Amino acid sequence: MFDAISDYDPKDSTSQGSKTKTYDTINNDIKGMKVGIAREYLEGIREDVKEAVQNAVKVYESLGAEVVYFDMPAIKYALPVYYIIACAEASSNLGRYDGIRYGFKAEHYNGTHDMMCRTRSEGFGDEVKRRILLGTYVLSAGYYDAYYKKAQNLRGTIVKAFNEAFEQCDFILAPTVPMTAFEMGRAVSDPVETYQTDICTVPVNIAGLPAVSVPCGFDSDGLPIGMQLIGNKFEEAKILNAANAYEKAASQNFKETKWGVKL
Amino acid sequence: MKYELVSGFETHVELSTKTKIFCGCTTQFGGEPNTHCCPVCIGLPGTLPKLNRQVVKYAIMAGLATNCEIAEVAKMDRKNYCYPDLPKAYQISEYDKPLCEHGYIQLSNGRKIRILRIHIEEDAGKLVHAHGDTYVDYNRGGVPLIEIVTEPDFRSTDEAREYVEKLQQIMRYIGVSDCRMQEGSMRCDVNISVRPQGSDELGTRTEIKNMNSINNIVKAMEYEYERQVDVIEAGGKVIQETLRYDDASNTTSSMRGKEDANDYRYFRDPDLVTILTSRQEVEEIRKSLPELPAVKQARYVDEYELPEKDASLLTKYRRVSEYFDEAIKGLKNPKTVSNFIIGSIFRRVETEKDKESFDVKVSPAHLNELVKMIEDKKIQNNLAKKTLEKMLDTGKSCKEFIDESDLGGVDDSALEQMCKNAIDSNPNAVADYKGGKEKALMSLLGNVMKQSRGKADAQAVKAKLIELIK
Repeated sequence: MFDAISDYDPKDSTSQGSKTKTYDTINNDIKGMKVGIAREYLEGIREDVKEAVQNAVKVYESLGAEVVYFDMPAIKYALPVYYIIACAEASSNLGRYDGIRYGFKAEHYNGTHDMMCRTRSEGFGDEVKRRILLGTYVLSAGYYDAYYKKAQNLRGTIVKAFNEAFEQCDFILAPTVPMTAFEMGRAVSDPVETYQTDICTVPVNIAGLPAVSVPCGFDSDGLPIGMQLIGNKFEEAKILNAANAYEKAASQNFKETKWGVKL
Repeated sequence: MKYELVSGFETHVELSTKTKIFCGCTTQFGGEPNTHCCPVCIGLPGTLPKLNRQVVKYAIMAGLATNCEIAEVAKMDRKNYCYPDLPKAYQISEYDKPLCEHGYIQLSNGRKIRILRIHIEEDAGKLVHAHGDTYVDYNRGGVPLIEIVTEPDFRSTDEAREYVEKLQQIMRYIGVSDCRMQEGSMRCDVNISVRPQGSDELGTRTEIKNMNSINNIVKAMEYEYERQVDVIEAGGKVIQETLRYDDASNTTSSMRGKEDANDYRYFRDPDLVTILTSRQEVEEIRKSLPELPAVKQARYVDEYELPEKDASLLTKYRRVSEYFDEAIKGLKNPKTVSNFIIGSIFRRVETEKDKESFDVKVSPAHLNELVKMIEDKKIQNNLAKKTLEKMLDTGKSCKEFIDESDLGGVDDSALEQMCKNAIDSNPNAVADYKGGKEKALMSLLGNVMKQSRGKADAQAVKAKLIELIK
């Protein structure tokens, strides 16, 4: 599957593409590999999640990997940077849903302009509207420099921080989410808190890096805890190999939960 | 008080690439509405743009031909605005890092119109109002454009006219656009302000959008100049606004004011990668450019000693100049060829479009053959001219007519024999000439011309007669 989707896409200018057969290189041998732990990834993380991740580090040590600790202060900016850039792009990307060519179209309107306004007001949900508003704001002439431009500069800082980190380790191990799943419906009432749950996963999206999320334990309610392995650019093979080695060594974390989901 | 006109131009030129800028659709003008479209150029969700490299090449050609510097690194940005003819609700353009910058076009009065920048972008679709409704035709959407922006360097409508003509001529020469204003493949936005003569400060400007003929540009500029002067003279202030020009009433009217100006929320298009142009590539493009009209014109004057006006007429259209270049090969007197083209051939090629394609019945080789015969004194100039008309009618070589109507010249031995005959049969005239009566030679000449039925070259006959009498 990965080998198929990683191939070059001639219709996508940003596609790099490779012909490597990642699957064939997976051998579960991670002896001598360096596992990086960035301290910032463990800040503000719930204790049980932190503990599960630390246990996973021990598993890697037992498999012959070496652990290196370092600081990555730049990833603290990843969340605001991500929401500025993602909303900016979304506000522009979603402009095409104007009801003219396809998709939802308002039933009653008066003229083209009114049709577009109503289509968008009626068709988009609250979260989408919130992001469009945020995105248009950070791109507007008066605020571009203060938000969008600054976010792009910080994006560069984050990319650089990861480059430096990968000089010291083969992959970075971090929690996937700072807690376990919250109850249904809570997300809607507090958007900022919801955005906070993305704090561990957005850095790779900002930096353009591959990561794989793997179950690494359960909380007291029996809810699964996840960790992620972050690799350098185009080093998917390395993290898939490390993830597979962990799965073999810690199969107790991959059992069926009481919700019937086999992990 | 006298007021000076200050104007700058933004000109959109449609590039004549075969396919659109970000997809493989044809760029052909016209066509049934929405038949030259695909998921990419109508902005379906999930589609991605892929830059047509030929567009970059054409833009670089345009930049080099107008003395611009070519950026080594350029990028594409999104210009966000909402309009039904813009399917993605943003136009992909270049904002702060254009491909070409700091060029100029020199006018005949010696002034240089500075070109601030040339950037590439995609065209929008077209709204069609019919049956009391509005329809959208996306055929033109995604057709590649270059926008050529000048500094506010124009001081008269004459300069504006010459600039647009020169720009058209250059773009056609290098083959990047047909620049047909009526078809919309060239459109001008004109920025105008006025200021007291001698002032260095710029006045408040207005912008007249989408002008589609040179005459309208001149008329709109004249009108807008007068209007602004009137406003100021009456103690008022010119308001910064966007105007449209109405051809029928010859007036401008407001489209939108400064406060309604769009905030385009420019940002780099994340779907596209950086445009890199190597110095080697730019130099190769520079080398591949044809000789530009201004250079060619100067060369025709210097090298072939053509009058400035003739050189300008011959170089106005690339095909004409190529025809001329081909027709003068190996000839001593290019001026004769030039005279035939301007005097005879142009009379049959009237429209601008026809001059552009310059598809005439007489091939350059046939014209060359005809002029060669004049140079070899096988045919006289005025007879050659008549022959050319017949050639233009039929497309046949001059040989056909010279044989047919016996217009062939007289060879040297025949000429000598005819001169001898004339001298022998007119002893009186010979005696008169010898006695100092120059005019007496004319009757001998007349005799020879009669013998040759007008075919002989008068100058040659004269020389031969003098030689024989001595």
